[in-house]
Amino acid sequence: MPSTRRIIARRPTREFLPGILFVLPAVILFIAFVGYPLVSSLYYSLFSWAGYGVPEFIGFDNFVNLTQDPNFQSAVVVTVVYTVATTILQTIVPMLVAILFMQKWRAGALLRTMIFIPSVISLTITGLLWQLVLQPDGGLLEVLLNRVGLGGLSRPWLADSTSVVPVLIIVSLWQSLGFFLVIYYAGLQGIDPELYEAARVDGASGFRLMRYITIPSLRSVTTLVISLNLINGLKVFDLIYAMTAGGPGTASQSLGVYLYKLAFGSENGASAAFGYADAIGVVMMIAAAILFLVVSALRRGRRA
Amino acid sequence: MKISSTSSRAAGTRKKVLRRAVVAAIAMASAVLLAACSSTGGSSGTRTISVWTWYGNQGMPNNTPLAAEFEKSHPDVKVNIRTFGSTTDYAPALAAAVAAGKTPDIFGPSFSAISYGQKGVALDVKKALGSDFLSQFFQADNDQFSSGGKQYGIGWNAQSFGLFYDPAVLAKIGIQPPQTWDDLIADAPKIRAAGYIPLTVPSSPSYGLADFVGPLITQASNDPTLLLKIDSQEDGKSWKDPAVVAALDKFQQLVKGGVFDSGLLAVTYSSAEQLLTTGKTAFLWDGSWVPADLKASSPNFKYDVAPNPAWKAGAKHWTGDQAGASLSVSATSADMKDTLDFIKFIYQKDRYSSTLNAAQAMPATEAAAADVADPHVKTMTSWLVDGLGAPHILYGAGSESGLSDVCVAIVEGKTTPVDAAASIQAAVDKAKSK
Repeated sequence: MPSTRRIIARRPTREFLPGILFVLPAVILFIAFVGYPLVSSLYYSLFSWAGYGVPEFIGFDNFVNLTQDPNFQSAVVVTVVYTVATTILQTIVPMLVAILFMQKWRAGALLRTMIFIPSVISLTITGLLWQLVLQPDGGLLEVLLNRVGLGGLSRPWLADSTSVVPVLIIVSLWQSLGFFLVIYYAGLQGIDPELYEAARVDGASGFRLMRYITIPSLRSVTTLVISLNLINGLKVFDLIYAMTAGGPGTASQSLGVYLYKLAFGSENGASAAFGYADAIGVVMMIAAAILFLVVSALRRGRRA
Repeated sequence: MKISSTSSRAAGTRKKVLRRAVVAAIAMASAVLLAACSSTGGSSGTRTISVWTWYGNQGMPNNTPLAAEFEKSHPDVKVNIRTFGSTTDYAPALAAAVAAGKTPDIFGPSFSAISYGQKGVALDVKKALGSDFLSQFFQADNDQFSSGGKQYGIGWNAQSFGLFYDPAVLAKIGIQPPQTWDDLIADAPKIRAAGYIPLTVPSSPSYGLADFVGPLITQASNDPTLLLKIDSQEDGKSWKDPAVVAALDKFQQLVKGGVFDSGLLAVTYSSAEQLLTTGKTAFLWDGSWVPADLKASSPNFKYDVAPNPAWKAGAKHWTGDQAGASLSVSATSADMKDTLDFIKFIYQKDRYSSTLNAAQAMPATEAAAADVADPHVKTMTSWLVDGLGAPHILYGAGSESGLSDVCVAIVEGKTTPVDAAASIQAAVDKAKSK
């Protein structure tokens, strides 16, 4: 019996060892590139530090200062507006387009490919391309509007504080539509056709099929798309930095752009504000964690 | 039994495979770690100095012959030049290297030369290279890196700003380059009537506007030290100074006078040059890097450059000066002698002149100013030789972003010069707490 007990006690280790070995590299990489920087960020957010020299401990002063920083407050507004708008648009539009593509169009594959192409272009290149398109004097959009007699609609899209964020949201939709379309398209193909046949037998058609079969069946895919959009929106940097660098003024400055300018740009003059930038990073991390928990809770709630 | 026996053998085989896999994994990990920990210094006896910048189109590309030439005369030294594509790539890499205590022997300090020096990262080059060596640089280029009697950087490229224009366009409109800002405001309706934007200023990113307005403060005060004092908040100077208000007022007059295009705030550095070369703007206000850019993008484009308009008739044509590209030496360089030798080597007059001429870049030394080959760069360099350089790079916490933001607000008609000046000071006061 003692030998049996020993076998039982040792079995878990023997069984888990291969698994542990397989995940170990990922765990090491995670600790090195996510865990350590995360803890380090939390630590340095409590200091006044330029990225070099001796950090000065200031407790929660960086966080207190954030509450009184107008640039931080405007960056929060920009980030929230961008995140909410891109999440809504980039969840609904790809879903509708994917449903349209399920109608077996003759040129469907070609169109899907065309829509997907922007997704493989880097955000920086996307930003630079759209900067050329939206250029106020001689940009492609201005030329096109003039050609079709709508020159009156032309405006300095990226120079106007009221139009710059909506334009960035539209460019983001253009860039990401293909990616989320593919996710939804895969999800749609996983829906059992018998569900539709049964519903049709019961007299359902068109919108009711979509309302009661398609959308509920895509719930897990939609949760994934929402989660990705929320995270991408919160940490948006490259598209905005490439297109406007946060301008005009701070009109399109997101938290990510502000953080970058504080840590690596000249926002704080000769001495970088690493500790302060870390505090912004911590706020972003907490916001992302809260959003993720909310989405997860909603998902669990619906399942229950 | 058979089943049991097979299962036992399979378990034994699996155990063996597992053990081998573990041993192999440990061996591979050890190899990687050993490789990572091994010296990268090259062959025995060879010393390496590292040079990090983003000056690829300013005479310091990755394949610069400077490295090979130095190695030829110093066979035991390897010069490792690392030129980044942009400041966006460079700044985080340098910050990480400095934080890790692996500061490159020579590096472009960007805005932080003095801060690096005060924190022991950058070397006091006044002590290390001597006053004689430093005396060859334009005074403004030395001043921008000096604090407390020490100097923590030297200029690689100086810069100045002026009005670029196509003489054929000006002939068509029937105007001459303006002598004063008021002349430009007066000409604006005529220029607009001819179908051109009177003046284009790169304003996206909006620090381009700070570059534009900074020298106006010198023009308003006729004192090239005032902006430096305001920026560093010395001698009781602040951004509420009357000269700042006057400069912002002049800027507002230019905006209200229809001098700029309505899309001003979206004009990037490259699109500003395109507006000039495609004949859409009468004047482009920009820096001494434009000749090199235009040679690359529009080699057949004929243009000229005029001095920055003056505050009033007969006044000095103060223009933005200081080195946009500069070099600092690591205070902890393991090979200080070779590092300083390399600095002296690259600044030897003929070598420095030919390096910068090849890049069409403006030299930071008065000696090399005489050798500038490009006629436009030569003209713009002559303004510095004539003592018309005014500071425009802001180092104080909150200064540059504060000035840029109020310039945007003035363009958008959201503030007055007095309120704008007070806003900059408030931004500076706030930034000190970061």
